[in-house]
Amino acid sequence: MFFEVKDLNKKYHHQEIIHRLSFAIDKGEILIVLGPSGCGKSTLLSCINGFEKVNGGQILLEQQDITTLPPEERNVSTVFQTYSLFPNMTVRQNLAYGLKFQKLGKSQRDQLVNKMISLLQLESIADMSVTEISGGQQQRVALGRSLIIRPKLLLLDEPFSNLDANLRLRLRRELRRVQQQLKMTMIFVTHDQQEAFALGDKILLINDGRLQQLATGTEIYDEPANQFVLKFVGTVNWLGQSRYLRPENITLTPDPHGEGIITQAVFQGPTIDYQVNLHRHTYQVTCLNRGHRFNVNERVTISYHEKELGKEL
Amino acid sequence: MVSPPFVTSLAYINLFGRRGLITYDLLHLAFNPYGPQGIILMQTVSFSSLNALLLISITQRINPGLINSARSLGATPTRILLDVIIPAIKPGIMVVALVSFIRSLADFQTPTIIGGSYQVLASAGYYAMISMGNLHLAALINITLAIPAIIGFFIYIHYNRSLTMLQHGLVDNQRELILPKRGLLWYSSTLVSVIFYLVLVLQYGSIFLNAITEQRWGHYYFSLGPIEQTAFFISPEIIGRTIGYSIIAGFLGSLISFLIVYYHQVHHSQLMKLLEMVGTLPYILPGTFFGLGYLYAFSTKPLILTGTATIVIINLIFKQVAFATKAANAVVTQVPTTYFKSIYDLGGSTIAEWRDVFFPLTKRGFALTFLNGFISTMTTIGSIIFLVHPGQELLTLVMFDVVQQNEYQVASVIACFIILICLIVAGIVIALINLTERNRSHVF
Repeated sequence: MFFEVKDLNKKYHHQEIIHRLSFAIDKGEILIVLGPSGCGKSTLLSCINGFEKVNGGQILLEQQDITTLPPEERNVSTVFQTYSLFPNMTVRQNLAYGLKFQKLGKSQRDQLVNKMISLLQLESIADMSVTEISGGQQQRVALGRSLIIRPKLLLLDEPFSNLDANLRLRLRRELRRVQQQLKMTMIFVTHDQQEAFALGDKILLINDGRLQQLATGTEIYDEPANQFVLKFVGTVNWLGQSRYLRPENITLTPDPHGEGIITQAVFQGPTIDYQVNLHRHTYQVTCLNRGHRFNVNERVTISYHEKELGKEL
Repeated sequence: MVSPPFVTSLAYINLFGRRGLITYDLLHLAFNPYGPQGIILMQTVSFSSLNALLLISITQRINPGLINSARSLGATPTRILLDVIIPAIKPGIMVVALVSFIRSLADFQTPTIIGGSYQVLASAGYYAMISMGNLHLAALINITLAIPAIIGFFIYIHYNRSLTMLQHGLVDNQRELILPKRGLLWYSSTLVSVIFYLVLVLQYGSIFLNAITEQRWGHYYFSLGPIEQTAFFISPEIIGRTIGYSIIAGFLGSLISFLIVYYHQVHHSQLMKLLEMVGTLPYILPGTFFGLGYLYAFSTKPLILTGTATIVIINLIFKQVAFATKAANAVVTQVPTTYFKSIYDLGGSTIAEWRDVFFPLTKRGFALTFLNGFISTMTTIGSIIFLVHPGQELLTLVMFDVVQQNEYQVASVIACFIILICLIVAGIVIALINLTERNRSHVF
């Protein structure tokens, strides 16, 4: 495997933040680290990039043990949540910064910088101070600054969390394009599930510093390994005894004699979320917005496709 | 910072004077310490503490993410220092350089004590007034001093503005500036820091030793003789007057500054904004300049205040306004303006605004500004040297006089008194602040 973490342990003041975490990724993959706030995602990243010392375990990059190496010697680069662009430098100078430590000639450096500017479409702002550009532009510069030094592994710590929804979508697509073009191996931390499904080749879902599931987005959503995964990813109607229903797997049919009653209807744009009372149980239902809408207190018949944790009914 | 500005000169003479501890007693050298080299050295050491404090607070405002980014890109600690930290604090370096330049221009005490026959404008102005009684010559010299000070001040304003640009973009929650402790620059700066600490230990150690020892037949013996001798020069009245003036100047100076800032920041008063700018003048112009100004302004009708305590106290109060308004600004801008709006929204008035929001939320800043004003007044000399009449002496003036009479041990005792008083008051104020904050720590 290209990158491996084996039995990683990390404590703060005797409190365990990461507990015997192990996973591996192939070269050219994007691994998404997903989990609730405070689960240890950013701490994991800090252990991998060397800004935190680990209390146990190993970190291997191309079979080389980098567990105790300082950050500047790991060949791992990080795009931080707050970008941290150097305010005393222009966009071009920020991009070129890391190349100073790679023993390249000036013309070679300039060539690489120009290529990166072109790749990320930064031509119009290349010679501007980073204090004068927008949030989205800063994000692209921060990304370019890390990519240009061709690290073996690129870490991204919630890089889009400070951007509006449309910009996030645009930059997500751009990141995917650039990653595929450069065949860069990436570990991307996020708490946004949509982002995780859209970007990741694999998703590492953690909670309280422990691995919950490592799988593709489809597998995590359709075949959750345990109750935490089931309830964290998407919405779920829990029926008890390991049986559950996803809201989109419930079909509502208008029926004046139906036993189900609509108690809430929330318009979400492409979908509509309903709450339906049936036999003293409340179901969350998601329907596509195809024209027909149910009203509150309307009677319906519901049909569904139940699932069980670990198998399909 | 809690000692009179010429304490370094006193220590210099104790250690390196013609009969200094190091030059004469240890090395048996016949060394003449007086001259420009002594002035430059002592002013450098004297100003270093405040400069270091200012630069530390500026460096702490650097986004720690910048350091991590640079390391993530392969930069060594030395390169981070050269490429990221120093460019980021360059405006701060210019600011402290200009402040030191302006203070050095105004300093007449150090050249008077250890300049020997080497004169600077500030000491020439002092002698013109004190030795020759030539008010007009003194005024002319002080105006000449004021010109480079004002030019320096405008340059200072320019660089001070750049300091606010220091944090760009988003800021990490992490507060510590983590730089690995290795590399040539790390070891060099550690060495310089150690030497500086040793210099400070020597400086204050020599003052303290000089205050409690006597030399007999080439040996030093513990003695209360210097303290007993000091009783001829100072009295409880002088000590009480000094402390009293310091409390008044510290309190009123802070109060006036906070009120100016309140009306400027909260009510956007342009007049107060102008007053804030004008209030900075005592900070940049030599203290003797203001002393002479007060003499001229208050020696004729309708306000004849020369020879009174009032003129001294007024001078001391307004000297504090310069620094106190800056500190008040830093504190008040942290109070969200919606708090003040809420008072009026709920039917309150200006009094309620002061009583229930403004002063409670700026209490800590006010206390620290008071403390700074107190210490500054306890250790001041330049602005009051021409205003204080016989019978109204303050501790620093007595100390300056006895140094000029070569009574170095008495001067050391007085220096210790001043430092002790400042430390005691600082301890009381900080303890009160901590007590107040602890009592309210359960309130969310």
